[in-house]
Amino acid sequence: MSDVPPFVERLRAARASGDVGELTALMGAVPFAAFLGIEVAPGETGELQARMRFAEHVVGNPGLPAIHGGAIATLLETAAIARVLWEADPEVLPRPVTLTFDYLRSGRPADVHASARIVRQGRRVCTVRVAAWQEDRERPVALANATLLLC
Amino acid sequence: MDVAEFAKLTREFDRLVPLNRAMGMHLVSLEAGTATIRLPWDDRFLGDAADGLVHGGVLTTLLDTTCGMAAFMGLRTPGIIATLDLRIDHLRPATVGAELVAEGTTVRATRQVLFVRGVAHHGDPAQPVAQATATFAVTS
Repeated sequence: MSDVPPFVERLRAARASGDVGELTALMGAVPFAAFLGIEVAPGETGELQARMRFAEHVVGNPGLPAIHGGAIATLLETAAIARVLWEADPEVLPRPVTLTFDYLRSGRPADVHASARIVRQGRRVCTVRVAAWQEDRERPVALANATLLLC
Repeated sequence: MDVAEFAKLTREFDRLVPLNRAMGMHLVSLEAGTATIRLPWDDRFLGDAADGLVHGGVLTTLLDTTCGMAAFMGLRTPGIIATLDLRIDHLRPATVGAELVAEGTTVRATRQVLFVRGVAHHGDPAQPVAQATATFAVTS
Protein backbone atom coordinates (compact mmCIF):
# COMPACT_ATOMS: atom_id res chain seq x y z
CA MET A 1 0.00 0.00 0.00
CA SER A 2 1.35 3.40 -0.92
CA ASP A 3 0.40 6.45 1.04
CA VAL A 4 -2.01 8.69 -0.80
CA PRO A 5 -2.49 12.40 -0.06
CA PRO A 6 -5.27 13.24 2.42
CA PHE A 7 -7.38 14.91 -0.28
CA VAL A 8 -7.49 11.62 -2.20
CA GLU A 9 -8.81 9.79 0.87
CA ARG A 10 -11.39 12.51 1.44
CA LEU A 11 -12.53 12.45 -2.19
CA ARG A 12 -12.84 8.66 -2.14
CA ALA A 13 -15.05 8.81 0.94
CA ALA A 14 -17.09 11.63 -0.60
CA ARG A 15 -17.50 9.75 -3.89
CA ALA A 16 -18.69 6.67 -2.04
CA SER A 17 -21.37 8.68 -0.28
CA GLY A 18 -22.19 10.84 -3.33
CA ASP A 19 -21.19 14.02 -1.50
CA VAL A 20 -19.89 16.45 -4.13
CA GLY A 21 -19.46 19.05 -1.38
CA GLU A 22 -16.01 17.69 -0.62
CA LEU A 23 -14.93 18.42 -4.21
CA THR A 24 -16.51 21.90 -4.01
CA ALA A 25 -14.50 22.57 -0.86
CA LEU A 26 -11.25 21.22 -2.33
CA MET A 27 -11.56 23.29 -5.52
CA GLY A 28 -12.79 26.31 -3.55
CA ALA A 29 -9.47 26.31 -1.66
CA VAL A 30 -7.51 26.92 -4.88
CA PRO A 31 -6.40 30.57 -4.59
CA PHE A 32 -6.37 31.55 -8.30
CA ALA A 33 -9.79 30.00 -8.96
CA ALA A 34 -11.19 31.76 -5.87
CA PHE A 35 -9.68 35.06 -7.06
CA LEU A 36 -11.63 34.70 -10.33
CA GLY A 37 -14.85 33.72 -8.54
CA ILE A 38 -14.83 30.15 -9.84
CA GLU A 39 -16.63 27.41 -7.93
CA VAL A 40 -17.32 23.75 -8.64
CA ALA A 41 -20.78 22.39 -7.88
CA PRO A 42 -23.57 20.34 -9.46
CA GLY A 43 -25.65 22.24 -12.02
CA GLU A 44 -29.45 22.20 -12.23
CA THR A 45 -29.45 18.71 -13.72
CA GLY A 46 -27.04 17.38 -11.10
CA GLU A 47 -24.16 17.35 -13.59
CA LEU A 48 -20.79 18.40 -12.20
CA GLN A 49 -20.05 21.94 -13.40
CA ALA A 50 -17.75 24.87 -12.78
CA ARG A 51 -19.13 28.39 -12.66
CA MET A 52 -17.45 31.78 -12.77
CA ARG A 53 -19.46 34.58 -11.23
CA PHE A 54 -19.26 37.76 -13.23
CA ALA A 55 -17.23 40.53 -11.59
CA GLU A 56 -15.56 43.66 -12.94
CA HIS A 57 -12.05 42.32 -12.43
CA VAL A 58 -12.52 39.38 -14.85
CA VAL A 59 -13.14 41.77 -17.76
CA GLY A 60 -10.57 41.79 -20.54
CA ASN A 61 -12.16 44.29 -22.89
CA PRO A 62 -14.30 46.96 -21.20
CA GLY A 63 -15.33 48.40 -24.58
CA LEU A 64 -17.60 45.53 -25.56
CA PRO A 65 -17.51 44.61 -22.58
CA ALA A 66 -16.08 41.08 -22.71
CA ILE A 67 -14.65 38.68 -20.16
CA HIS A 68 -10.87 38.09 -20.40
CA GLY A 69 -9.95 35.01 -22.43
CA GLY A 70 -7.56 33.99 -19.67
CA ALA A 71 -10.37 33.96 -17.10
CA ILE A 72 -12.54 31.78 -19.35
CA ALA A 73 -9.53 29.51 -19.95
CA THR A 74 -9.03 29.16 -16.20
CA LEU A 75 -12.71 28.24 -15.79
CA LEU A 76 -12.34 25.56 -18.50
CA GLU A 77 -9.16 24.20 -16.91
CA THR A 78 -10.84 24.12 -13.50
CA ALA A 79 -13.81 22.19 -14.90
CA ALA A 80 -11.42 19.67 -16.48
CA ILE A 81 -9.42 19.16 -13.29
CA ALA A 82 -12.57 18.83 -11.18
CA ARG A 83 -14.05 16.23 -13.52
CA VAL A 84 -10.84 14.19 -13.53
CA LEU A 85 -10.51 14.41 -9.73
CA TRP A 86 -14.07 13.19 -9.34
CA GLU A 87 -14.10 10.43 -11.98
CA ALA A 88 -10.54 9.27 -12.59
CA ASP A 89 -9.45 9.00 -8.94
CA PRO A 90 -5.86 10.21 -9.48
CA GLU A 91 -3.47 10.04 -6.53
CA VAL A 92 -2.08 13.50 -7.33
CA LEU A 93 -3.70 16.75 -8.40
CA PRO A 94 -3.99 16.42 -12.22
CA ARG A 95 -1.35 18.63 -13.86
CA PRO A 96 -2.04 20.37 -17.17
CA VAL A 97 0.33 19.39 -19.98
CA THR A 98 -1.26 20.96 -23.04
CA LEU A 99 -4.49 22.87 -23.37
CA THR A 100 -6.08 24.25 -26.51
CA PHE A 101 -8.85 26.81 -26.42
CA ASP A 102 -11.27 27.88 -29.14
CA TYR A 103 -12.94 31.20 -28.46
CA LEU A 104 -16.28 31.13 -30.24
CA ARG A 105 -18.09 34.17 -28.86
CA SER A 106 -17.16 37.04 -26.59
CA GLY A 107 -18.02 36.45 -22.92
CA ARG A 108 -20.76 38.92 -21.97
CA PRO A 109 -20.89 40.44 -18.48
CA ALA A 110 -22.73 37.52 -16.90
CA ASP A 111 -21.88 34.24 -15.15
CA VAL A 112 -20.11 31.58 -17.22
CA HIS A 113 -20.70 27.84 -16.78
CA ALA A 114 -18.46 24.97 -17.85
CA SER A 115 -18.76 21.22 -18.06
CA ALA A 116 -16.07 18.66 -18.86
CA ARG A 117 -16.14 15.16 -20.31
CA ILE A 118 -13.34 12.62 -20.14
CA VAL A 119 -12.56 11.38 -23.65
CA ARG A 120 -9.90 8.91 -22.66
CA GLN A 121 -8.33 7.99 -19.38
CA GLY A 122 -5.01 6.19 -19.45
CA ARG A 123 -2.74 5.36 -16.56
CA ARG A 124 -0.65 8.51 -16.95
CA VAL A 125 -2.61 10.80 -19.21
CA CYS A 126 -6.23 11.89 -19.36
CA THR A 127 -7.78 13.67 -22.35
CA VAL A 128 -10.73 15.93 -21.53
CA ARG A 129 -13.11 18.04 -23.63
CA VAL A 130 -14.65 21.08 -21.99
CA ALA A 131 -17.34 23.56 -23.01
CA ALA A 132 -18.20 26.95 -21.51
CA TRP A 133 -21.46 28.78 -22.01
CA GLN A 134 -23.53 31.61 -20.59
CA GLU A 135 -27.31 31.80 -20.98
CA ASP A 136 -27.63 29.17 -23.70
CA ARG A 137 -25.68 25.93 -23.52
CA GLU A 138 -26.24 25.41 -27.23
CA ARG A 139 -24.25 28.58 -27.90
CA PRO A 140 -20.88 27.96 -26.19
CA VAL A 141 -18.52 30.90 -25.65
CA ALA A 142 -15.43 28.66 -25.65
CA LEU A 143 -14.30 25.05 -26.02
CA ALA A 144 -11.17 23.42 -24.69
CA ASN A 145 -9.22 20.23 -25.11
CA ALA A 146 -7.08 19.43 -22.07
CA THR A 147 -4.35 16.85 -21.69
CA LEU A 148 -3.68 16.24 -18.00
CA LEU A 149 -1.01 14.18 -16.27
CA LEU A 150 -2.29 11.84 -13.59
CA CYS A 151 1.04 10.95 -11.99
CA MET B 1 8.56 52.94 -30.04
CA ASP B 2 9.16 56.34 -28.48
CA VAL B 3 8.83 56.97 -24.76
CA ALA B 4 5.65 59.05 -24.97
CA GLU B 5 3.83 56.47 -27.09
CA PHE B 6 4.90 53.64 -24.74
CA ALA B 7 3.70 55.64 -21.73
CA LYS B 8 0.34 56.23 -23.42
CA LEU B 9 -0.11 52.54 -24.27
CA THR B 10 0.92 51.59 -20.71
CA ARG B 11 -1.78 53.87 -19.30
CA GLU B 12 -4.35 52.38 -21.67
CA PHE B 13 -3.26 48.82 -20.81
CA ASP B 14 -3.56 49.53 -17.09
CA ARG B 15 -6.85 51.39 -17.41
CA LEU B 16 -8.56 49.33 -20.07
CA VAL B 17 -7.93 45.76 -19.05
CA PRO B 18 -9.28 45.15 -15.54
CA LEU B 19 -7.98 41.58 -15.16
CA ASN B 20 -4.43 42.56 -16.18
CA ARG B 21 -4.52 45.35 -13.60
CA ALA B 22 -6.04 43.11 -10.91
CA MET B 23 -3.27 40.53 -11.43
CA GLY B 24 -0.55 43.18 -11.50
CA MET B 25 0.82 42.77 -15.04
CA HIS B 26 3.30 45.39 -16.23
CA LEU B 27 4.24 46.23 -19.79
CA VAL B 28 7.99 45.98 -20.23
CA SER B 29 8.31 46.73 -23.93
CA LEU B 30 6.25 47.04 -27.08
CA GLU B 31 7.78 47.03 -30.54
CA ALA B 32 6.46 46.27 -34.01
CA GLY B 33 4.73 42.90 -33.68
CA THR B 34 6.14 42.10 -30.24
CA ALA B 35 5.29 42.60 -26.58
CA THR B 36 6.99 41.78 -23.28
CA ILE B 37 5.02 41.73 -20.02
CA ARG B 38 6.17 40.92 -16.50
CA LEU B 39 4.00 39.55 -13.73
CA PRO B 40 5.37 39.90 -10.18
CA TRP B 41 4.46 37.08 -7.82
CA ASP B 42 1.18 37.23 -5.91
CA ASP B 43 -0.06 34.54 -3.50
CA ARG B 44 -3.41 34.56 -5.31
CA PHE B 45 -1.66 32.76 -8.21
CA LEU B 46 -1.41 29.49 -6.29
CA GLY B 47 -3.13 26.52 -7.90
CA ASP B 48 -3.18 24.29 -4.88
CA ALA B 49 -3.52 25.26 -1.26
CA ALA B 50 -1.50 22.24 -0.10
CA ASP B 51 1.47 21.68 -2.42
CA GLY B 52 2.12 25.21 -3.55
CA LEU B 53 1.78 24.95 -7.33
CA VAL B 54 1.34 27.89 -9.68
CA HIS B 55 -2.12 27.69 -11.29
CA GLY B 56 -1.99 26.87 -15.00
CA GLY B 57 -4.57 29.60 -15.57
CA VAL B 58 -2.02 32.21 -14.49
CA LEU B 59 0.27 31.18 -17.36
CA THR B 60 -2.66 31.03 -19.79
CA THR B 61 -3.91 34.48 -18.80
CA LEU B 62 -0.43 36.02 -18.97
CA LEU B 63 0.29 34.43 -22.37
CA ASP B 64 -3.14 35.31 -23.81
CA THR B 65 -2.56 38.93 -22.79
CA THR B 66 1.03 39.03 -24.07
CA CYS B 67 0.19 37.38 -27.39
CA GLY B 68 -2.78 39.74 -27.71
CA MET B 69 -0.56 42.79 -27.18
CA ALA B 70 1.98 41.40 -29.69
CA ALA B 71 -0.84 40.93 -32.20
CA PHE B 72 -2.08 44.47 -31.52
CA MET B 73 1.46 45.70 -32.23
CA GLY B 74 1.49 43.61 -35.39
CA LEU B 75 -1.70 45.04 -36.89
CA ARG B 76 -1.21 46.44 -40.38
CA THR B 77 -3.65 49.24 -39.58
CA PRO B 78 -5.07 50.22 -36.15
CA GLY B 79 -7.95 47.98 -35.18
CA ILE B 80 -9.51 45.73 -32.56
CA ILE B 81 -8.56 42.08 -32.17
CA ALA B 82 -10.11 39.04 -30.50
CA THR B 83 -8.49 35.71 -29.57
CA LEU B 84 -9.64 32.99 -31.98
CA ASP B 85 -7.68 30.12 -30.50
CA LEU B 86 -4.85 29.51 -28.12
CA ARG B 87 -2.64 26.55 -27.30
CA ILE B 88 -0.61 26.43 -24.09
CA ASP B 89 2.16 23.88 -23.48
CA HIS B 90 3.21 23.64 -19.84
CA LEU B 91 6.89 22.80 -20.32
CA ARG B 92 7.96 22.68 -16.67
CA PRO B 93 6.36 23.62 -13.36
CA ALA B 94 6.44 27.35 -12.66
CA THR B 95 8.22 28.35 -9.45
CA VAL B 96 6.05 29.60 -6.59
CA GLY B 97 7.15 33.05 -5.47
CA ALA B 98 9.02 33.93 -8.67
CA GLU B 99 8.18 36.72 -11.11
CA LEU B 100 7.06 35.61 -14.57
CA VAL B 101 8.07 37.27 -17.83
CA ALA B 102 6.20 36.65 -21.08
CA GLU B 103 7.26 37.55 -24.60
CA GLY B 104 5.00 37.49 -27.64
CA THR B 105 5.98 37.68 -31.32
CA THR B 106 3.70 38.10 -34.30
CA VAL B 107 4.75 35.50 -36.84
CA ARG B 108 2.45 36.68 -39.61
CA ALA B 109 -0.21 39.32 -39.97
CA THR B 110 -2.87 39.24 -42.66
CA ARG B 111 -5.82 41.58 -42.99
CA GLN B 112 -8.11 39.14 -41.16
CA VAL B 113 -5.87 37.06 -38.91
CA LEU B 114 -2.64 37.36 -36.89
CA PHE B 115 -0.49 34.37 -35.95
CA VAL B 116 1.44 34.81 -32.72
CA ARG B 117 3.90 32.78 -30.62
CA GLY B 118 4.57 33.37 -26.97
CA VAL B 119 6.81 32.10 -24.22
CA ALA B 120 6.81 32.57 -20.44
CA HIS B 121 9.83 32.15 -18.17
CA HIS B 122 11.29 33.27 -14.85
CA GLY B 123 13.96 35.52 -16.32
CA ASP B 124 15.91 33.01 -18.41
CA PRO B 125 14.31 32.54 -21.85
CA ALA B 126 16.36 29.33 -22.24
CA GLN B 127 14.33 27.80 -19.39
CA PRO B 128 10.74 28.43 -20.53
CA VAL B 129 7.88 27.49 -18.21
CA ALA B 130 5.19 27.59 -20.89
CA GLN B 131 4.83 28.35 -24.58
CA ALA B 132 1.81 29.53 -26.51
CA THR B 133 0.56 29.54 -30.07
CA ALA B 134 -2.33 31.88 -30.70
CA THR B 135 -4.35 33.27 -33.56
CA PHE B 136 -6.27 36.51 -33.38
CA ALA B 137 -9.04 37.81 -35.60
CA VAL B 138 -9.11 41.42 -36.68
CA THR B 139 -12.65 42.41 -35.74
CA SER B 140 -12.65 45.99 -36.99
